[in-house]
Amino acid sequence: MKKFLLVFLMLIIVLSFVSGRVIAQEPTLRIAKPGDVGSLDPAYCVNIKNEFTIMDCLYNGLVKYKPGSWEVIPDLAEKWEISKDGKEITFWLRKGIQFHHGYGEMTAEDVKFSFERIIDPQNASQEDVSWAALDHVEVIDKYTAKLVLKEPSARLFTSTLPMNAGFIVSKKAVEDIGKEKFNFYPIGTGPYEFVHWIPNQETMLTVFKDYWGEAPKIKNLKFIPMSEALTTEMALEIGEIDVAVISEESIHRFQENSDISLYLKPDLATFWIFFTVNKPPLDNIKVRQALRYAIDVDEIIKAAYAGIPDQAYTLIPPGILGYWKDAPRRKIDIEKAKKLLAEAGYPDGLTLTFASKQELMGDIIGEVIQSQLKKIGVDLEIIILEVGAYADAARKGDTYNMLYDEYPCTTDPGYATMWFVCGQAWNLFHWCNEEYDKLWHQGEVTLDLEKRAGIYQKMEKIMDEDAIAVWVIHGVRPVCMQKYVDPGSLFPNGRLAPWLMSIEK
Amino acid sequence: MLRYFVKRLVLLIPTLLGALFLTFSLIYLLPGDPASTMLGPRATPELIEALQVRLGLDKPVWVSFGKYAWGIITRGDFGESVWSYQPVSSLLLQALPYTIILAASSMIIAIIIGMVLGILASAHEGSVLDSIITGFSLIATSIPSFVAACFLLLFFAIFLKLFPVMGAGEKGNILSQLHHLILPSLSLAISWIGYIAYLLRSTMLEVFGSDYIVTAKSFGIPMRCIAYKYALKNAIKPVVALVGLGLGSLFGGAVFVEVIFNRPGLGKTIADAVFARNIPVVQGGILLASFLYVLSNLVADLSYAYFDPRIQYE
Amino acid sequence: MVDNKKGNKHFLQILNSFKKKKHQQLKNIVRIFSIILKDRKGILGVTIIGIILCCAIFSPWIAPCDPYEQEIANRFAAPSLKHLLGTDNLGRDILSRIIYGARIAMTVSIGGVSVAVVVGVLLGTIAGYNAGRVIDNGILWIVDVIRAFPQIILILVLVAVLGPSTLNMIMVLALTAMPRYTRVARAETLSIKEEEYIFAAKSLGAKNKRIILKHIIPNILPPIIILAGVDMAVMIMIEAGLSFLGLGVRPPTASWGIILRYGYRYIRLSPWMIIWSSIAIAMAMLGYSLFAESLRIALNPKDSIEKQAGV
Repeated sequence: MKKFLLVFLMLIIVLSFVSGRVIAQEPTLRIAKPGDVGSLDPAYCVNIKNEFTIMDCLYNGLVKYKPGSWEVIPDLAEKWEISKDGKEITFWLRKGIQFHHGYGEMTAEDVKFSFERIIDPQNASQEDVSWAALDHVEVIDKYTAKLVLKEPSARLFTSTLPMNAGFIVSKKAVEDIGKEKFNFYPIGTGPYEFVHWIPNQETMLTVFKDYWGEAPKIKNLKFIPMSEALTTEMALEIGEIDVAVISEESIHRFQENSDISLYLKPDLATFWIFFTVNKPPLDNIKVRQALRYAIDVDEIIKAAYAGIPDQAYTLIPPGILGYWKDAPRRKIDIEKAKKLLAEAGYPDGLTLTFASKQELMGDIIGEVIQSQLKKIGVDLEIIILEVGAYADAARKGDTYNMLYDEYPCTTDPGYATMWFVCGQAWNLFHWCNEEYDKLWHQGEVTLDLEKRAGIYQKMEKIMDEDAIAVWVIHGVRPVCMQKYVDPGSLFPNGRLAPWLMSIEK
Repeated sequence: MLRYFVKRLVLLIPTLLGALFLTFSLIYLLPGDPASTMLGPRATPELIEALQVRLGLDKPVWVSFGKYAWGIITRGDFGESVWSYQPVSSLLLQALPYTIILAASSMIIAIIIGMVLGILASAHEGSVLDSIITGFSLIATSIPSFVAACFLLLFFAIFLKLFPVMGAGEKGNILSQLHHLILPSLSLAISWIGYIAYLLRSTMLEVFGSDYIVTAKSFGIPMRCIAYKYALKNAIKPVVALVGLGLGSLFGGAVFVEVIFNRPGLGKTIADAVFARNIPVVQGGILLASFLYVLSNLVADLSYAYFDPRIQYE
Repeated sequence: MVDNKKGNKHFLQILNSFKKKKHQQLKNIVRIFSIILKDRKGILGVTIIGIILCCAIFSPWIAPCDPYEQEIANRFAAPSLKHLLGTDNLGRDILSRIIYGARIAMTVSIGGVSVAVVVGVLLGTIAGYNAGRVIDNGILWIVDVIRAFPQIILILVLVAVLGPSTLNMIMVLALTAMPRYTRVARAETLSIKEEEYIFAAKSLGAKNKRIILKHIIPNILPPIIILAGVDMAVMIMIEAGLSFLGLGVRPPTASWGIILRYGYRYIRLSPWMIIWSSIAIAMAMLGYSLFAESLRIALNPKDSIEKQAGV
């Protein structure tokens, strides 16, 4: 009797082992993302890393980045004309472009709706800064829309239009479905349409049959949130995942793995430690300077990133217009830090709170900083939060003293810097500097490249003098995929273009 | 028997109501303002107000509790997820079958292997085999499910590459689902294998010493017959009771296993909701978990009463 | 009306039996311990618990290094003379962290069990003593509501909602463990309170509180202590499990669960963290389980197996 049971058990195990090895025949590309989506509405993008690629598959903008580069080429717009004063731009749209799920044809009305809703204060979109220059959109005729700007915008074409703020949504769909539900039932014109979102499990897209452009080669896309690097890498090695970004520690191992291709790209982003300056004790610049002298970024990079990425000394990454290559490189000075703290009125030290997300290695970095700050008498309390709770707490600003976060950049310095004007939703410093704001607006309208670069360098100098941050890295992005996946064309920062990818099995 | 069942069922009602109230009051335990904590980045003042109305935070406690309880009892309406506006009940019902399958298969594996080991050990008392099995059982009871999950995952999935590391397998493909089920069930089952093996061994040994067994032996009936026919029937009672108790703690262990294996299920849903501060899902989740727990305890008690009718009259 | 003279004699008899009981109890404890220590399991259990307690109490003296000192350049070092168990992901000495981890394990489990026992026994004896009355039903109801939730899930949710901290952990663990003690205490009280000496004490005017404290409680302790032993093992496991998920004590505190968490995460870079932390957790649980098991055998040598299974 018991022997029979044992045999039966063995049989089940063997059977399943045998069958489980058969690779799924359905052409589905399984992509791992570090976290789950917070919203699929481009105006409310919560986390670029988790959501942008999906949005890129679902939506089109008037223009887009040419595959593999940051050059801007036409997408939904066939051509455009910029007025002499730079304040009016007329777009001629392609005809016959359909929205997903039967929501009709894309017209200039949708363009007007998509952009104007972002600047509408009632909608509280975080992308409002991207469209700060927009006054309104005029519908000339069914396929012609005119953007009327308050002032010429230097980066309209480099970052606003090709990124999520420039994606065109279906006016009819948003009005029908409702703003709230639209977050998780997106309707765009992109090569893929939305199938379903199972929270914490997967987001599924499938090829849009009536797509106006070149049809993608892969039928289904499955985006799977996986926040643990170990599980992601295990899944990759076993073949349960096709594409993933791995951790820096594992780069060597994957380089030697013959079943997996590794593409190591420099990320286009900045990772840094925010000081929230609107409440004590970090409203005192001496305290911030003290912290800056105590936090050893080199140790952080070694502990959290295997020492691979280069240290960042300023906001704008190298190679981008406005990069400040003479940014000061400060040495750690514990004595000076202690002195500054005492001068600020905290000779006996103080307690601060630090918040971050786990997918950003926030817990490790927190512990490293905690130990470093102990040397100057500062006790650090570490709180790790999930996306939603983190975003909320960070933006409220009266909860945590320090935050560690990553902001993606585009080729346009205006994009990187726009988040920190007074009162912007993502201004996690809660910092308000009039000079900075003034310079930013100037940069937006300056078209001369050299002059522009100078403006942004001045802004970075202000940030540095105000000691509002400790820059950590600009990041690397090690993208891995199974050998049978052809990446098509990756963006220069390693971002995927799934509609160009293919599977050869 | 039926009367006992009905009696127990009726006694459950005040308990469940109390559980309902405890769950409901979780919102008020949250430090800070619950509505904006839950809303996250899309929190505009109007949305916060809207959520507060939805959660009933603008009304006095007993009114909102009444509404909440009424919604659950009459419509099975547990509210909506703060994030996705999906009804909590559908989220939970989607996840539940996976957990039930996991718990059931863990128990089955534990019973089969545990019983085999326990019988073997008792039949060869004092031998090396007995010592090995007893030692292993004791150690097994000290291995928490998450430790077992880590090691199993690392060993079988990475080094041997035999089993998948995440998920529950493809829908509709039974063999794939089985394949994804093995490591998680084994992790959950390990400590139960230990308990069952140890307990069954002790019980069997004790029964072996009792009069009627000695008598049977003296009649020349072989050990094997004795073990299965007579001893087992009696020794099994405490094991049944243990299994009844175990169903509940399996839910807890399932949380760890589901999170580690990235496997959908009630435990993972609750854990994810907890991390994301998605309170309505947390509330619905623990209510469902407690309902199932109470139900399984009732079933276990009933089966125990079936074996030992005296219980009914206590 | 009781005849005074006869009453006094009766009273003296009962008083003597009280004294004998107390004397008996001390002797009992010594006897039980000697039984435990003769049993292989008992020796092992007591030894393990002893080692862990020593680690917890004397950690600053036993630990070779500072458990919080980071040496980033020396991460994931294999065991060496300087770091007997190796270093962790931030270069801290694993051995020292495990020794200090015993503090967390002991604090949480002893604290949790103590509170659970004190509150549970009190509530249980009050309930049993007033069996059938409102207060009994009230206590039973509260206890049943708590028991309606699977322990780990309730703890998970409460700790997450209230915020991770050692104190919250102890409170929540105690809350979820308390029901069992209440029920056992109540059941034992129910059976004891019918006994003669209680009647006698009552008729002599002893207040209820005194009866409960002095007479009932000492006699219901045996099963409580056994439960406590098992519960300590469970609490150590739950604390480790929650820390593993990230809901436990806050960094940089060294808890076995946290070492396990990072050990798992960085398994590719070094196996030592996960190995040593798993051993520590398993050993602690084993020690308490062995101790509880041999305690049970020592206390109830003739009881049926069913009772021993805790049914």
